[in-house]
Amino acid sequence: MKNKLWVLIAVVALVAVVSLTVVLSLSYFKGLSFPSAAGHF
Amino acid sequence: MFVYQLVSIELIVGVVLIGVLASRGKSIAERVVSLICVPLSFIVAFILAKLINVSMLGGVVDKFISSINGGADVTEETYPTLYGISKAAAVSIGKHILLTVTFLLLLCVFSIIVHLIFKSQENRESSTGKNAVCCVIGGVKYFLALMLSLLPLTMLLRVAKPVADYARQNQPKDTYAYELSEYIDDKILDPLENSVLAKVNKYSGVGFLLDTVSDSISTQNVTLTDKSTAKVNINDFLRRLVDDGLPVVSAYECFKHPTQHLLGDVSDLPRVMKDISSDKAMSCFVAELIASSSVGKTDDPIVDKFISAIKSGDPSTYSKTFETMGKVFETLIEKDPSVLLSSEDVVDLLIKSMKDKEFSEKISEALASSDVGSEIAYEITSKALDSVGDTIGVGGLNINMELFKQLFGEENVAKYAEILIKVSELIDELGGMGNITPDKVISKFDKVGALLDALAVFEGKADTSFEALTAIAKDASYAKYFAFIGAAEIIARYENNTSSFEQSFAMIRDHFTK
Repeated sequence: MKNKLWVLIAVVALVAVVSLTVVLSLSYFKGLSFPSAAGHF
Repeated sequence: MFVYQLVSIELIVGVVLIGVLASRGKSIAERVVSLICVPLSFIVAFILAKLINVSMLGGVVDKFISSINGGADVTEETYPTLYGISKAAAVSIGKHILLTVTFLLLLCVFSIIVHLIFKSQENRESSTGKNAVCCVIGGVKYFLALMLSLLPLTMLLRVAKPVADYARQNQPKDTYAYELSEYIDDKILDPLENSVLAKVNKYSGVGFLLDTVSDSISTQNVTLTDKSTAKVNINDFLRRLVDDGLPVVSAYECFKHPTQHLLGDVSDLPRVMKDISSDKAMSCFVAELIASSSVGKTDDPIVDKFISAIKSGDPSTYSKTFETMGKVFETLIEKDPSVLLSSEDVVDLLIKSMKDKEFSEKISEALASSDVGSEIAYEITSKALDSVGDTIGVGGLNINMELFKQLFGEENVAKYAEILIKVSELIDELGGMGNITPDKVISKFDKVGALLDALAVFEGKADTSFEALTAIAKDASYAKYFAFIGAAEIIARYENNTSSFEQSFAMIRDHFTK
């Protein structure tokens, strides 16, 4: 019973960390806006 | 950057953790053999990557090259070097990805085989202490596999990072290429290079190994424009291409607005031109890029002359052409970087500086070294003589530059210096540009004659197609003929057409032949 609780905590922590990473990465790369080439060539 | 560090740490910790967990309950022997599978898989994958040419990103690279050159049809027949390099770059990127994927697949296969062999022998040892050692070995195996999988990242950083650093050090504000590379450096390359993952890779020594492997699989044979082949290291080539390309794009923007920029603003051009000329593959590639490009028409006749010379030039002269341009710019920038970039001002600087013996020798030597140099020399000489004529007020000395070219030949380009020196001396004697009046011209008529006499240096280069012209002044040399034309026109215009051109011509002829 105690082992199962640890596994549950580990899985929840893992899912939380991975979700946080995915959300942060997506918002970071979505926020990138490359300079426009208009008017240069 | 937070996101990069977070992902890096998660990757390293996660992968090592999986390695540790996967090793539980297995024997040391099995784990050690399994660990050996990592370098073994990498070596086999490396050999396969050396043997197989795979262009996984061929289409993307082709599209990229096509988008640069404005839609001209780049094929193996029309632009062999351009086509060859883009293919080689695609193959090189493909090989990096292929090697990494093959390595991971082989590692899985080898690990499974090792596991099955040990399982069938049923010789596991399961004491707790030994298990801990197994877990460490397992963790090291997975860590090593992760590090070796970073080969594509190594290539990206090796090619792009030096370029981005270069852009950071030289930051003209009005260039898109610089803005873009700085942005990419800030947002992607810099945080990537400073991430825990890249640092661990570098300091574990695997980074050095990956650099060597990346260089080895990036070296390929490319067929050049003149059908010869050259060994090209695509990593170096791409890095140099962008490294040289940024200043060229910057210079191009300056040439588009020559009255807003100084010679000093393109101070990097001599280095770039010399760099391009030092490598045959690079010379052919850049020349083909210019030739295939719809971009490249400026308002500057001398720059346009260079571009058209490239477009119509013989491939074997490409290196010489870039070398010439490098020398010309270097000499001019050394002389006075504060002059405006426009042809008018540059030619003015040239004329004024011709009396400096060292300068005139340098520039003549540079111009004489290639066909494009002679083309530019004609252009400069023509402009110089025109500007004298304009200043005098006769709308140019009316010298036909086509005749000029055919009479003097390309091998005599260095001697244009003598004409330019005479022009320079004449302008000084007449009181400097802007102060010249027809009266002064007449008073210094011998000097005008001396200028045109300088053309006599080239006597004997006559072409039979000029028979009709020589008939007019058969008792004079061709050089004198030019003198007649020029001087006659000066007098005819000065006297407000009261005397006809023919009368003036006869008068001048008498002056020279008496």
